[in-house]
Amino acid sequence: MKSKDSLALDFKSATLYALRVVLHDSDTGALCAALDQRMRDAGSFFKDEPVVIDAHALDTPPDWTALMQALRAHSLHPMGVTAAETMMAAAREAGLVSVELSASTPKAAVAETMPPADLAKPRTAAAPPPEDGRPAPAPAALVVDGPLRSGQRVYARATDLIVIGMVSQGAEVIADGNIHVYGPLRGKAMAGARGNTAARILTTCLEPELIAIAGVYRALEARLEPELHRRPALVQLEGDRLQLRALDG
Amino acid sequence: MARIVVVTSGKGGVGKTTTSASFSSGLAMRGHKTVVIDFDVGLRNLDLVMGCERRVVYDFVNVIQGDASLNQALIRDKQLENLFILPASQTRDKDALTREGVEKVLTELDEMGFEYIVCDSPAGIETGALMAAYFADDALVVTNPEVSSVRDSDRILGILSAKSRRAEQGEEPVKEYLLLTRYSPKRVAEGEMLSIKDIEDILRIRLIGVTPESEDVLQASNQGIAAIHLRDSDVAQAYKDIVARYLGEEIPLRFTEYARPGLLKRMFGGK
Repeated sequence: MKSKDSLALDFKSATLYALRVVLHDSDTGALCAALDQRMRDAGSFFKDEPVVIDAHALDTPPDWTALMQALRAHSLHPMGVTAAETMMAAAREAGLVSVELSASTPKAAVAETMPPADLAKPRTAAAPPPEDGRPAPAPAALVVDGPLRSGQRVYARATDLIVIGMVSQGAEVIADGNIHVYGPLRGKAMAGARGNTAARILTTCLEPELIAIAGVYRALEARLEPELHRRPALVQLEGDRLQLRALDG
Repeated sequence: MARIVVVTSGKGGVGKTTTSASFSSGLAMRGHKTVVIDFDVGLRNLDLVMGCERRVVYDFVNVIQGDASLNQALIRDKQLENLFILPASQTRDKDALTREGVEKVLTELDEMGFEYIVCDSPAGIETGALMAAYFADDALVVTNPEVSSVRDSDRILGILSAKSRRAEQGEEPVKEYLLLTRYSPKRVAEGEMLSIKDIEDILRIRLIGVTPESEDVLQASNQGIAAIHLRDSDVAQAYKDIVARYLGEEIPLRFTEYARPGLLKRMFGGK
């Protein structure tokens, strides 16, 4: 209920999760080609993400308008630019705003933008300590009530994924947090998709095609050993190896 | 309200059209006014299987585009007077099927008093298949006992649960029924085919029936008669059971157990 003297709008604070697109080259053609390739590898993983362009590594500005068009063509939404002040005039002219990002460490940014296609790169356990002491909010888990069938893909951004039902062969479940599957896990499961090495995969019936945590993956071509095959199980990262453990007993 | 049933599979050649013909005939035999629509624009087959290809003057696309009325395009089945066929176009482009156009035709069929509208889906997951599935209340997912067919059925089930009208409008989901065709208990026993249990475990939807592998199906379609009309045929019996189960009767499965031929049978032959 609106009280009589309340305004038609309110200001509240919000934190936006955005991708940082780090430019290494001013040549717009090369940038567009690299973008095409990245997006092809990533499938629909980054679709409709807000994007901040990081041009700190550049000396000369790229063609901002063309770059924005290329990003939009891939369903990425440029929100602004972070760059040296000398580069900003052209960017503003193209309609981009200057954005301040905290801790502009390109290295971390690269890791964050790693799509699931980049699974081949195992990451060492020493890499990211749990979140520099900042208290992370705990968003509610994404719950899928019912089976996920071949060709379906669900991504739980910045949270856990709970599937009540099976995950068929050919289906994919991805979460930045943990993945719980209450039913047969027969498809692909990738937990800690943005690098959380503490993420786990839990299921009541383990027979997946592929499991991955924080980019460390294992494709399961052969049947698992009998104590794991179709058993309740836990998958977690120990060092840079995936450990599979039966859960009953 | 007419109940809209899509007969679908993802994979081609598993028995969708055979099933559409027999299932719609079965509903009509039980006294329900039924229409069966061929959604396979460009590759129509249903009219052949039901033996009415020479009576096709106007088709589904003509009706959608307003070139003909439904009454002009509907063909009365030669066996059953309360069964009608709406044939697909042989010549049109499949993009002629628009969601608005299909909806208009389905609404009009409902107003004409049809109780069941059976939609024979084309193979694949292109426009025709999506259109056939979009408005469905129930889905018969036709599956052969082999892995690629089962995988494609799984894919189609995913599409039904995500992209049907019922899913989009947050209504009660499409009722899904598994229909196994070309099942050979002998080959299952020999480990050449997936068993009913395997398939049920993978797809996890209600099994509505199993039709046995049989030469009768080919014979029936060559003669232009829905397989359900064949006398003394296991396939016809199986389809009658399926229709009865769909209408809510509890009937045990038949034609699913392999009986090793006894000595006499082996000596004197016989099927």
